[in-house]
Amino acid sequence: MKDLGTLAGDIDSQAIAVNANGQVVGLSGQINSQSFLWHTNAHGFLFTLDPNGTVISRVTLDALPGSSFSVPYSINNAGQVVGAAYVGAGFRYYDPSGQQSSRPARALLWDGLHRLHDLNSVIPSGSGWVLTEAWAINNAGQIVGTGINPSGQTHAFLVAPMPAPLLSLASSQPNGQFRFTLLGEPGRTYTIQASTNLVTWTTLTNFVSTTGTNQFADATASNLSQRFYRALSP
Amino acid sequence: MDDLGFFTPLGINSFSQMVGNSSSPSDRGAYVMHSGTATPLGTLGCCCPGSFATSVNDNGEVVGWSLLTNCVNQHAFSGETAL
Repeated sequence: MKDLGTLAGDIDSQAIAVNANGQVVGLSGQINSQSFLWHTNAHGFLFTLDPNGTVISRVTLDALPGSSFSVPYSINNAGQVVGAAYVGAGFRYYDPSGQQSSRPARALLWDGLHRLHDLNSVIPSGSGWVLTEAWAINNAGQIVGTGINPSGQTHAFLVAPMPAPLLSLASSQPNGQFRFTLLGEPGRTYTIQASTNLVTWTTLTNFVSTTGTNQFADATASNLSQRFYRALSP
Repeated sequence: MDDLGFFTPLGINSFSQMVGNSSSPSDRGAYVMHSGTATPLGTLGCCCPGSFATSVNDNGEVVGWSLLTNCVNQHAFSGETAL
């Protein structure tokens, strides 16, 4: 078992979820050791681990203005994070299912660049829903959570507001090129970036996808033992 | 935007299979939900409803926890769902 540490200046931390790339989200701050309630200075974090499990990057996730706790619950392989913002003192993780929390809450999405969005502002307007907690996100960008439906009932929801572009059909060519295909949406602008450590990213190209499917070849990949790629869309 | 009813969905895999807990006051059991069908995952206990599914992976493996037959203690469980 390895100690992942905390955000700078904190004394306690809890990891909540991990993706297949070794990115971990959780809470950092100070916890009451009797009640396991977090003090209100707790922050959401995103730590990136190298293949040996060593933390190479510690990011503080932005909190929703006015909230006491902005808590990340799930991260997918595109680095999209979902969670919830709560108002009021004391927050306890470990039982997110712990029957509907009675405190005011707001569902959150941190996109692949760690930018914070109120999930209610990225779903189509006029839905009549108030999304209060987002519990999980899959690799296709589908989000499940709890909200108040147009009839005023507390129900589960399923929504895909920011479909993650998919990088697929990856292959190494005999000449050392690394080739893959972007599966996105026609008409959207995409940026392809590459990184050796998931922390520092270099932009390789920008383009508008006319068909939604674009093949990409990286001629410089042959010099590297590993390289990560990602596609971003504004 | 899909309305999934009285359900607290805590996990979703790449095949849109969701796991979680019924949020109906009369049923606190663990469920898998897929394509609009909810399938109960059962319990490690007998007579006290109280099981929670927290995560499902792309192999259909489900984990969570459940009350035991003494209706006091909880144990972690694993299970599976057909893909």
